Amino acid sequence: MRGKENRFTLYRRGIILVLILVTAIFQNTEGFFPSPFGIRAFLLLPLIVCIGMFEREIVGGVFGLIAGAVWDMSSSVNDGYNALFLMLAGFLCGLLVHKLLINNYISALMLCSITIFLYIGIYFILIFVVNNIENSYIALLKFYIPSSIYTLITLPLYYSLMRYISKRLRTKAE
Amino acid sequence: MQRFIQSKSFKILTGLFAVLLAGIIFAAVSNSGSSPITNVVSVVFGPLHRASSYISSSFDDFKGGFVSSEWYRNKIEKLELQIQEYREQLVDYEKQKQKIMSYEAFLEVRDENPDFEFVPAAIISRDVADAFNSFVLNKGSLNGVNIGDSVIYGKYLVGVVREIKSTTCVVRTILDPTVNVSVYEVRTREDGFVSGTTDLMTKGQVKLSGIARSTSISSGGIVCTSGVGGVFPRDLIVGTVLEVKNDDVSISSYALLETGIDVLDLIDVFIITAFQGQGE
Repeated sequence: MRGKENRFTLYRRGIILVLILVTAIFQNTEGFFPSPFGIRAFLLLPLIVCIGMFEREIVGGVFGLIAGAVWDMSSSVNDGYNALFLMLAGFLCGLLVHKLLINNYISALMLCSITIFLYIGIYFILIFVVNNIENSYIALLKFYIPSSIYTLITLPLYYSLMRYISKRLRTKAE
Repeated sequence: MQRFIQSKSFKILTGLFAVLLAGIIFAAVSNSGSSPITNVVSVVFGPLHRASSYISSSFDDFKGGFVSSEWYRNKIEKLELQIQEYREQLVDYEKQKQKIMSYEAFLEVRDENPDFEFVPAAIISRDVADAFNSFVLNKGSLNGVNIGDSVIYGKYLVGVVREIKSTTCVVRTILDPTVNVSVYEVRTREDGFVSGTTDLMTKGQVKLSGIARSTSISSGGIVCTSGVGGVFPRDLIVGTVLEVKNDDVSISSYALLETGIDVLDLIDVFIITAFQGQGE
């Protein structure tokens, strides 16, 4: 029974790893995911939030680290920002669902909104404030806020997918 | 035999033979290629021929109505497949044409600047969170690429290498406000510097600053790198002047430039790893 459970846990985590890699490719390759009016979806953010919610803090943190490292390979900001941020996001989302929140669409929406807000906020400080770029609010209004909303729209897809994977491979193990 | 020769049938046969022979001789002599008999026959039978051919074509049309819808469906499917194939060939052709044009421009740059050293590279990913469209190339320090190397597409300056790994490098485009390029306008030889701004980033435009209010630069002027500072080699095209405006906060003017390349459409580029005057 225990061996079967371990085997299904391994399957589940293998599928999640593939999902992270596929999402990273979709996110970082031009033309793979639609970018209407020049805005883009930061697909790895909702995915890591959902992984943290369903896999709990430690696994969420580890998957966050992997996803962030993959993202860092194509990032123009300081190396390690995405890995560090996504690791913390995965860990904290897992911890909050474990200790404080109920795992449902509303809490997913709340956690994802906060994650996106923090990601954009820190990124904006690192790129625009540190480099003292003029009229940086225009980038915020024209690119980052619409992109945040676009990212949030993809959350139900990832939440449903993670819930399906989690239910399916946990029920089978039981 | 004699009875046969004297018979009526023989006489008719001979008569007919003589008439036909005369007709042949007449046709040969008159150069018309047809005997009077043929003419007579064709006059008599011409309308008959036309009538028969009309009936025949009508019958063909009529028969066409009985061709099954499946036959037509198959035919349409076949033609649609053919059209699809031609469309794909056309897309391939356009891509190849674009590539050849880029290589031609690149060869021109190489011929004009024998001191340039190039590394061809392909774009492998983009930073989705960067509003200024930075991207990653598949060449790094192992290929001789260094931080600060210029990236070009044909004769156009695309950006500059800002981060380097062993097999990849990150390129910041000229749309990025942190990338400053010293330039000159080809016709007037006026100097200035180009950088991106947040309000121009989505339009694929950059700002040429530092030009005098009495500038002669006008719409359509071509702006190239000046090579000052030794960061970018001289004479790479940065863009074309769209309009010249007076600065509200200083006594200088500025111009809006169209970059001439769509960074999001790029696939292959060249990195200039060395040139005469680099770093001087």
